[in-house]
Amino acid sequence: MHHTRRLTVLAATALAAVVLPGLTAACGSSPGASSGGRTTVTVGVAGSFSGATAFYGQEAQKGANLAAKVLNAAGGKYRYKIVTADDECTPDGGASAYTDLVYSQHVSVILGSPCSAATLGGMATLKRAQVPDLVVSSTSALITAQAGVGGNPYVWRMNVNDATMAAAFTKYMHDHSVAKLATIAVNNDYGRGAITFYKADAGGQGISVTDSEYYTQGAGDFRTQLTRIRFSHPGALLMVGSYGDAVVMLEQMRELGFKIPLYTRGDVVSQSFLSLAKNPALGDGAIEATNWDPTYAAYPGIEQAYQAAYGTDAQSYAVQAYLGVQLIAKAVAAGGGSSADIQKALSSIDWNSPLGPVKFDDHHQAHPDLFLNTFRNGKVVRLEMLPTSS
Amino acid sequence: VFFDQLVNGLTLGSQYALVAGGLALIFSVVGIANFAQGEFYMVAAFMIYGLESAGLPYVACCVVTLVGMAVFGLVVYGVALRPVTGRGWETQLVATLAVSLLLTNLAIATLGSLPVLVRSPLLAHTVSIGPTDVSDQRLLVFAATAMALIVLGGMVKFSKIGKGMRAVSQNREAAMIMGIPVRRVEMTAVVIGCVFAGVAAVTIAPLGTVVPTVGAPLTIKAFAAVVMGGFGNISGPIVSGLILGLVEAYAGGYISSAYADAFVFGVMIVILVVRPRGLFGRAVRAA
Repeated sequence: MHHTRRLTVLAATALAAVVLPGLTAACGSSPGASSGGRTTVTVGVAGSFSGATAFYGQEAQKGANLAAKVLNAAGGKYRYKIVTADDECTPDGGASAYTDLVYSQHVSVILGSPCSAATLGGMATLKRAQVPDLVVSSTSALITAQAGVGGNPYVWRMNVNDATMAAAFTKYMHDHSVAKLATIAVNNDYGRGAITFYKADAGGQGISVTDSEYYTQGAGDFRTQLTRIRFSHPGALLMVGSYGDAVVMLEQMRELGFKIPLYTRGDVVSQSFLSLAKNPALGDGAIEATNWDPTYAAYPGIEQAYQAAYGTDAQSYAVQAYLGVQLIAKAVAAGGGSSADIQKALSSIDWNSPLGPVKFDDHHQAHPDLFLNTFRNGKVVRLEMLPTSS
Repeated sequence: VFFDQLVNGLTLGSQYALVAGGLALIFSVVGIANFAQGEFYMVAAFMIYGLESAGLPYVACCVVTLVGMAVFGLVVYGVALRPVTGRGWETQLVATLAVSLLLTNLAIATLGSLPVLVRSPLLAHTVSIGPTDVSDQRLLVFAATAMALIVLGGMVKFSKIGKGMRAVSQNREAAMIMGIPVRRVEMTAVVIGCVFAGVAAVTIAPLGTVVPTVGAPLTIKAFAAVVMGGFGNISGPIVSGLILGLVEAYAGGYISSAYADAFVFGVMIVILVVRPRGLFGRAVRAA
């Protein structure tokens, strides 16, 4: 009996220890704490850290950590601390991760999520807590539509979205004599959302879509879809997915003897593809539209620092998170380290970033450049850099 | 299209059949529904990837991986399955789910979540069969699956340990009274289940990428095959695995790839409505 009472007291104490800080804490807009004469600005990276998409969050965290390290080493009034929350790349996970970052980890600003679904799921929390979120890599146009004027004023997007990319990329296809296009995309919000725009814009350019296929992320076998696409007789294939899936898909196209011009989205034309494929010529000729520069020519310093820190090539999520922290630092330098200060400063940001101009419109969408790249002789080569700010 | 999708369906079906075969064997003999069967495939796939990265040729990688999976089976039986044999299904469910989650997250934590490729020299060469081209690797998948199933069938029917498995699956207590070493028989079944996952991995992994989360969807498909084939027998789930692969390929090929999984589980539901005990299940009178 005595034993049971002691256990009850222990359990109640443990519960109080977990719950009370959450109840008594102020919301995430509280100003940063002071440390060694420098004010700490806590930046929360929301991203997937578990499951099939765990690399989104892991890469973003690495990029953000590296940027914070560089900023902290440079000295100044502010010190940057990166914390993370797992959004599982789902709307529910996004809501949970954003709540955790704001109310438990007391961040001044959120960076992310790399997943559109998670970003959309977390947006309501931002409005309640009045904490800004800088989106740097997720591409759903819905986020732009729901941000800024008439929507959520705390969401800011630094990267080019699917709608802008689809319009420019389908025009490029049309200019390069593509008349019949088939599509294959990963069967999730990202893939389905992107294909909606590509199909509409292809129609607008007079390109007919012969077939649209979907696959489960990480699925090993694409022959079923490729067979169907092949018999629809397209003139080109658009793939929206990831570089890992693209390697397998191209090998299976080769197995089937199926050769066709390939257009891609999703870090396919990248160093990561070349490292995985081992056959440098596998992707030769594939053309990709991206919202970052996989040749690293736009930011040689970042790539070298990343290589030195982690021993691997920086992927898009890492580079974009790095640049996102830099943008946050500019906002902090302009206005201060609290959520309200950052929110106010973001509205007047005008930064000529390595990815192009970053100045937010009334939907809080920036208009940096769009990069078109290809593989040539087993190397990533930039074809064009298209401004999107006009 | 028909012949192309036949090849595609048989490849998918081979994978499901091998994983479902191991799952059914463990369920029949040990009496545990193993929710970590797909993760056994993942472990074997990363095992062959590691060996290949160390510079071993493909054939040696296959052999060492299969031996490694046998050892892995011994460990899994001793650590996770043996302690819960004879316990309630809830305990067994939680135990195998724990193994599944542990293996997946251990792989993510130690190996990362980026995809890796297993290379095989058989991928480079293709042969024309009828109207389609098929890589030697895919032919190896068919041959290895057929061989594994024949060896298992022969062993269960003719060998002493196989007869022991049948006896234990029919009546564990009676088998024990008759002097059959039940623990050893159970251990053998788990080892074979793991080796089956290994056969699937060494032949099929080179056709795609390997990620730590590759196991969960396989487990679901394997369970669908076992439910469809009927619990308590081994041949039913294997045949059902092949059928599910073909349904997935033909549904994806002729209707829509976006809903291929829906068709797979739709077929399973229809079969269960028509034959509640599964395709090969038999009525069992309660004792």
